[in-house]
Parts: sequence; structure tokens; C-alpha cells
Amino acid sequence: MTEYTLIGKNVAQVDGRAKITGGARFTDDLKLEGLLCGRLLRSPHAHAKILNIDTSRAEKLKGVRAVITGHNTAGVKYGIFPFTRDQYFLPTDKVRYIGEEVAAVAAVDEGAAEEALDLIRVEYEPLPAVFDPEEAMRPGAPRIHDQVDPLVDEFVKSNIGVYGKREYGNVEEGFRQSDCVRRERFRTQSINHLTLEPYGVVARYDAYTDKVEIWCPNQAPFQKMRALANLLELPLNQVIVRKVAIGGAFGGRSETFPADLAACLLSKLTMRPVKIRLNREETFILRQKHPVIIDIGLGVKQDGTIMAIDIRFLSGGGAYTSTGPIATGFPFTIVEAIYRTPNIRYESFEVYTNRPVCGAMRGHGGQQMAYAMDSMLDTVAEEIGMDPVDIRVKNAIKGGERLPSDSYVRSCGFAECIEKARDRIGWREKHGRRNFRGVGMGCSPMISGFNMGFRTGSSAFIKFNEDAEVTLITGLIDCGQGNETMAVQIASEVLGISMSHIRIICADTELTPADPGNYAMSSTFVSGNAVKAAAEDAARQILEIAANRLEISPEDLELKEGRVHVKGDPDQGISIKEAIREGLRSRPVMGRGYYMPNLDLQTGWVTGKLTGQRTGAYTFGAVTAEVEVDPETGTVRVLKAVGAQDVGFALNPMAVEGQNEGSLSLGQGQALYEKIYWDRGLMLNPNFLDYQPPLATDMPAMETVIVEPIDQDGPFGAKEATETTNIAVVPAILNAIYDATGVRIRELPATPERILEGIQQKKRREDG
Amino acid sequence: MRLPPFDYFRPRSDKELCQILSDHGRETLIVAGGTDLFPRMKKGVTNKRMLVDLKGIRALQGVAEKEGEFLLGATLTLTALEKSNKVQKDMFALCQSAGRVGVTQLRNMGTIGGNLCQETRCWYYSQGPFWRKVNPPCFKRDGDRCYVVKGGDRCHAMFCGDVAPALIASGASVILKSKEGERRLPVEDFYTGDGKEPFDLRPGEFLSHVVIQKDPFRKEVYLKLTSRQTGGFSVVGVSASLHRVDGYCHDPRIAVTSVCPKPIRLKEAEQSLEGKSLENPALEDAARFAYEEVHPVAFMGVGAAYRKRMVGVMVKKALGLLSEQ
Repeated sequence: MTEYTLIGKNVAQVDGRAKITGGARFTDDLKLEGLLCGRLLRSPHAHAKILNIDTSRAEKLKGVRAVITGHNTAGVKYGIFPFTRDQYFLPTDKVRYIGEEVAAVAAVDEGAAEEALDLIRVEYEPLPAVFDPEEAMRPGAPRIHDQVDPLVDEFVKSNIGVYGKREYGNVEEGFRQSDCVRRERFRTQSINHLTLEPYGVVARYDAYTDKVEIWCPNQAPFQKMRALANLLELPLNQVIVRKVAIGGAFGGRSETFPADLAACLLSKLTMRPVKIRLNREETFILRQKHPVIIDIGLGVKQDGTIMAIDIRFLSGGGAYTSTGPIATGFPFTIVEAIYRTPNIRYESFEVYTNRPVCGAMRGHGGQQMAYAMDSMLDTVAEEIGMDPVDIRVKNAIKGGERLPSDSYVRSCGFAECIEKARDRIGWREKHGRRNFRGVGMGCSPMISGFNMGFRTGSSAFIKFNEDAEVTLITGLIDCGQGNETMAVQIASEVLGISMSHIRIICADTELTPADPGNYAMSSTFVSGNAVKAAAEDAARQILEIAANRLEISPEDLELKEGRVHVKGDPDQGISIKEAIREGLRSRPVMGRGYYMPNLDLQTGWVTGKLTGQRTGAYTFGAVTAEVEVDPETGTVRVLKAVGAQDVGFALNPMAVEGQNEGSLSLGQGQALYEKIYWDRGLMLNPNFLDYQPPLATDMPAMETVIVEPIDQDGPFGAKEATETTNIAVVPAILNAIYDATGVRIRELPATPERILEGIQQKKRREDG
Repeated sequence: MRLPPFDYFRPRSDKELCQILSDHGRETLIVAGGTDLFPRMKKGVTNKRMLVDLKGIRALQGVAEKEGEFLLGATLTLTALEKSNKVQKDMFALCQSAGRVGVTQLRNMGTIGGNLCQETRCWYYSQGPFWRKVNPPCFKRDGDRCYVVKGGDRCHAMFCGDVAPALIASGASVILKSKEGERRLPVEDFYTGDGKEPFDLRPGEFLSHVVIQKDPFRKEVYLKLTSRQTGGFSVVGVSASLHRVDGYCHDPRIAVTSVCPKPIRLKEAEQSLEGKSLENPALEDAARFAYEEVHPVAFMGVGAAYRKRMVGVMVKKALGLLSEQ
């Protein structure tokens, strides 16, 4: 293996010191001159016609500077895909969920803003509402959307926002050839991202430059810029998303929200900067993870060979489509890219309901799908008398395979992940005891970036100052996972300049080149590769300058520790600083790089081409968990969790470990504790106290296993890291509960109540 | 969410406090640690804006011992209770219960008086202003309905405090003071059972002390069942105490929290144990009586049947622990 100076070594986060010492500035820390306080008026109805909105009293209130409704917008609909534009921010026709934004105010302080909200009179005519996706699909259910794309109108009559179907091979034939076929239904709950930072946005319109700048926690500044430019009907160079420190995202910051548009419009009207800060409750209703109902059929041969999988994935999407095509289309990848399956059918629905909007959240449908898939795999394994690990090994996807959708898997360390996760948990000694202690395994693949058309690629620049200090300019964004550190580390390795001599400018749509954003775990693979290319471009220029000076071929030189010298002979060379200064006389060093992953830009999630290369690189992970169940209360304690993942190559193992532990805890929350409770359209527990996420005391002993089958396209061989363990830990825990108790929980979360009920039922069955 | 503007009084003596409460009566909010009160003020659950702070009154602090009684000041913090050696020995269950309240930061601020006067909770009631606007007001907010038990005729907001059941099981009393004088009530009688007005506090009255009879031979325990390892309110909290005379159970007392608007004593379960040897089937019988005695409703993410069952299970676990002591 190549010897690197920095790559593959533990390095501290470049923004770690600022965050620890309070120096990092988050959106709510921004204090701009003349800043106004913005607030949003929300619908108390789950579904109602808006008859009239009267803002006159609010406008007259002392301290109020502006009040807006949908009439102040350009009347452009928002949607992530051209075919999913179904949402007016600040609607004027009707509201579709409790909490939907209908008006906004800007005032000199919080008190005036809140008082103004109380003075806005909205006349509603309540309409019948529907909350359950299956009920929403039935004939006669209240129709949530009226005018839509005629292409999909047939579905929208049944409140189906997104529909997809694909079949590879012949599923019926596959079931006929199976020795064991089982069909089950699984359900999952809606959960929230629980970013520590509640959502907020600051907008500042500048009349002199005719530009609007915004600061907000976000995962994809360039996507936000485009959506806002659309909504504001402005060109892209007049809508600027600035960089700001971000307190967590987990998928929940990937979109554009009514608060963003409202802040921009209010700022434009008042000619003053406006901050809209959402409280925790509002942040809860901003986005949730899709609750789903999965009907799954699985057929295997007596020897464990998977013959057919049949899936119907029904997702309750809330009032608007949001990421629906991905949330319902992506889970197919979780199935096709993990166990070899000759015949597979996958039908998916995202159904409108009168609940808040569901959107991206880590895994994006993956946890739900893997929970059903891996629970079923354990079920059939038991039936044919096979060990759960063995059936996984038997069917595990390998490198060099083509998936049913014709997507190619290049590097793959899946088998090693399974084996290591098995051994580290002590599988052989612990599995199959049924003594209220048990172990379970879950597996998942992941992608490293996906098709976003020409927006799939990323660019970067390297700028040298005359003292040879480097400014790295990239569009990538860091939401806390360490992307900035990754970029600086890569540039540092390539340039032979220590990380402390590199400063990064990123995630600013005016100052940096475009980047896809934190979607589908693309940052290291796509943005990292772009940074590497830019650094290599700069390095080549430095080598050429030095080669000229030293009268030697550039191939014989290398960059190390701030010097450019003859390979293996540090004394024969010059400092990089000298080279940079020399360059300033005739050809200044300016590095630029671009990376576009090698994937099929025609592929779609539910429409368009359903075959072709879906991602630059697949990753794989296996998680094992050991649990203890109290037979009297049903309470589960996770004792240990091992997350093994193929990451291609770990650029910064410490960062991988940190991400893995975060992944395991997030998944554990979904598996055991977290759930949003509803009374029809009303969220009942929108706060940390009542939502009950796991705390530090609930965390098991965690182990991170890094598997490294170098990927030829990844930067230094690296791919996505630890999204797989975030998904796989959910079925791992559920399978461990089964191993401990013999109870199969088919609805998340696996609360003590459900487990105890299962234990009682089983006892009654056994007692006859 | 921020605290609304409020008036603040910090009396230095009982007498001064009584005068303020007498003058302003129902307009006041009594505060000590503030861990229960401040979130309610931030959410606008209460509209009262006149705070009276007990922490400036020396007489309400600390632990005193006289004539075979412990006198605990209302502002004694839960952490002090949990950590105090003096109290640990004689009031084991109380210290256990104090140690299971919320998390460290809350225990550092929270007090025994505050925990006894912890407001009843409900997912419809204990929410921010927008949430409360969605539905017409419930009983707790002077409305005419209950959302927990649809069609119910009273407020079902739940009492979830941890300290109360331990004190009930220890046979403790509270001292309530006002300008008119003071009265002493067994802790179980301090609670009305009405979710809307859960405490038997008259206008101008405040909880000043908790009194516990010294009883060195009483064995006691507090167990809290939560969905997580720590933090949060209980699914069920159970305290049991008893004397063992020649191996037989005497004067058992069992109390539970988080089943209804007040902490309750399980008298039938107690009676079933009197004079019995602390082993099966007596323990199981007591657990069954406990199970029969409670009638929880489906509430805040926990089903009625599960909560009811857990009362039995936790009573049995508690008695099991006492039998080992």
C-alpha cells in the first residue's frame, strides 16, 4: 500500500477548536445591523380552505415593519424535481397540515412579532382530512391536491404523489422455484432528525448590489440557491447562500423551506436584515422521516439461495411530495445491492396525507427497507434451519457483480464486514440461546453520490498566497461530519504542505464553485475528488516551475513538507514558497479541479431510465448487536454493537469511528425509543422530553471495524463512510431481540410494551 | 422560547412570605428550583406573572432532627437529598427517589417541595402556545373537555413526581403554612386526584416542610420504570416499605406514581401482605392486588394495559428487594 504523510492517519477537525471554545458562529449568533425579528403564522387546521387573510391590524401594530402572505410571493411552486412542484410557500388556496405557514411578520422585537401574529385574521373553511396513507388511497378519501401535472393526475385522485414500479427477472417463477416462501408486513414510525440546532434563517437584501444573502443550516447551498432563485424569480448571481456553522443536519436540512422565502421577502420589503428562528416544536414539524408500510415476500431454496423478492413499499409522505421519489425509490437500492437476487419486484407509493411534510433523513428509506428485508432473511433462515450469518454470506453481493438494475459493483468488502461483525460480537457462543439475551445481525449497502444530472459533479480551486499559504476554495459543505477537515487533509497530502498552512472557503454560492451538497453521502467521493484534482493541478504547476529552476524533469520531483525536491533527496530542491514566488513572475500557480462520478445521468428514481449505473461507488456494512431483555417489563438494554463497514479507504479513521458511533446511536433510537405520536393531524410530543431519544446512558459498548478494499475511483481509494451501519443497526437490534425472546417485532419502535405483548403471546401459544 | 416578563419577590422570612401570599393569593407562582415552573412559563402554560422565591428563607432550608422526627425544608435540593449521609440511612427510599428524578442538572436545581408540587402533565396541556391553539381548551385550561379520555368529565393530567410515593410509603407528612396558621397532612392526603387542581393548597398557603417519623427498623425501596436507562418521567414508580417481625411482614405501605392525577396508596395490596412471610405466594398476591387497584388510561405513549401490568410487576420487584434486605 502507498505510504501517505497524512492520509489514513487520525487528524483533528479543522473547526474543532472554534466549536469547542464557542468561536464558531451559528445562524442564531448572527447579529446584523438593524436586524428584524421574523415570525411565521401557522395553520391550526389539518385541511381547510383559506377564505380570507386580513393582515391590516397586524400591520398597524407598533414595531411591526412588514407582514406578508402568499400574495406577496411570485406564486411559484416549490418542488425538488420538475415533476414534483406541488407546494406554494405561504399558500392562499388552502392549508394541508397543522403547522403549515400562511403568513409572516417582521418586527423590531420578538414580542411585537408574536403579538402581530395574533392580530392576523385568517378565515378558514375546514375540510375533511385524512392521516393514514392506506385510508388516503381509498376511493372517496378527501383529496389533498387538486391541480397537478396531468401526467400523474390519475394517481393524485387517490392522493398518490409518487408511484414507481420495477421488476427484474420473473418473481412468480422465482417463488415457484423456492423451497420456502414467506410474506410479512412491517411498519415503521415517523421520527425526527433532532438536530441540536433548531432551524433558523437570516436574510439580508442589499439594494445597492441588488442581491439577497441568506444564512441558514443547510446541506446543499447550491440547491437552496437554485430553489430560492426560482421562487424569487431572480438570476442565480443575485441569490447568495452564505456559509455558517451548522449544528447537525441528518438529511433534515437538505431542502428549501417557507421560512427561507419569507425571510428574503420580508428583508426586501423592509430593506433590513430579517431573522426567522424556529423553536423546537416548529423544527419538529419542519420535516420528519417517512413512516412506511412494507409488504415483503421472500423466497429461498433449501440451501439458502435467495430466489425472489417481492416488495410493496407504501410511504405516508405528508402534505407535499418533498423528496418522495428518492424516499420511495432509493430503498430499492438497499435491496438489490445487498443480497444477490435473480428475480425482484419493487412497487412504491408516496401517499399524501394531512400531516406535515416528510423528507430526507439519514438512510432515506433505507432503515425501513433493511428492517423488513433483514427481519425476513432471519425468518426464512430459521425455517430452513440455517444460521443467519451463513445465509448472508451465501447471498452477499461481491465485487465485480452487476446488480439487477445493471449497476456495477466495483470495490466490495461486504463478506469481510459480515465475518468481522460476527466474530467481534462473539456470535458462535451467544447466538440461539433464547435466554433473554441475544445477538442479531443487520446489513446494508450505500451509495457514494447519485445522479443529479449536470449538478452531480463538484469543482474546487487552490489559491496560493505569496507566502505559500494556501486558500482552498470548494463548494462542499460541512454539517458537523468533518467534510472541511477531509478537504484540507486531501489538499495537504497532495501539496506536501501541512494542514495548518491551508485555510478553506466553502459552501458559499457566490465565492465557491458549485457542488452537489451533502446528498447521498457524496462529499468524500465527489467533492473530495474535486479537491484532490485541484490540488494535483496546483502541484503539477509547482513541479514544473521547480523543474525549470533545477533543470530537471518534473517527474523526478516530489512535494513534501513544504519543499519541492528530487525524489528521495530532500536536499536537492527549493521551498514551495520559492516556487510560488517564481511563478508570480510569469505563470502564477492556480489549481483547479473537477470531478464527475462515473454514473449514468439518465437514470431516474421512479421515472425515466430504471437501469444503468446509479452511483460512483457502493459501500457495504454489517452490524451486530447484543441485547438483554427484561422478561417481565419488556425493556431492552443494548449491551454491545459492532459496526463494520467497507469505506474503501479510511482517510481519517478517527472521523470514521465518530461517524460510526453517531450512526449506531441514531439507528438505536429508531429501533427502540423514538416515535412521533399523533392525534389525527396534531403532533403530540414535539420536544426532547416527550420524544425520548436514547441518552448517553442507553448507549452500548460500541466497536468500529473499518474494512478497506481500495476503490479505484475514490480519492485515495475512499468511499462513503458509515451510512450503512446507521441503517443496518436497526435490523441488527430487532434480530437480536428475536434471538433473545423468540419474538418478532414487525412495527417500530420495539417498545417494551410491544415486546412484552409478544412474550405473553408466545407464552400463551406454548402453553396451548 | 423565552421567559415572559414577571414580577419577582424574594421574602427573607416565613412571615414576609405569608404576607405576600395573603395579599396576592392566587396571582402568585411559588418558585424554588424552577425546573418544573420555568418551562411552563416559557410555553405559556401558566399566565401568572408574579413569582415568589422561597430560596431566601433560611427556615425552609436543610434538614433538622427533633423529637424523633426529621424536618426537611421545602427548598432542600434533590441532589442534597440523594447525597446526604444523614438522610440516606434513615430515609433510604426517599433518597433513591430523589436520585431518580430527571437528570443531574435538574436534581441540582430541583427541590423536595417542588417535586411534591410538580404540576400534573398531559401531551395536550403541557405544550407551547401554537399547539394549544389548535384545539379548544381542555379542563386544565378552564375548558369543558378532556382530550386524553374523549368524552371524559374531568382532567386526567397525570402526576409523575418521584418523591411523593417514597414519602407516602414512609408515612411522611407535609406542613402547609399560611398567614392563618399551619396544618399538617399525610402526604397522600395532599393530593386531590383532580388533574386540574392536583394539590390541597388553600389560597395563601405554601408547603413549608416535610416531616418524617424516625423509624430505623422500617425497610423501604423506590423503583422507577422508564423506557430509557435514565432521564424522563416514569412509566410507573413504586415505593414499598414495611417492618419485618420474626420474618413476618408488618405495617406494609405501598405507593405508586404515574398512574393517575395523584400518587396513590395501594391499600389492598398492603392488607394482603400484613402478617405474611415475605415470599411467594404472598408477593404474587400483593402484586395481583396492586394490579387490580390501579386504573390507568392510555396516555403519553404508554398503553393502559401495559401500565396496569407494570404496576403489578414493579410492586413484586420492590417487595422482592425488601425480602432480600
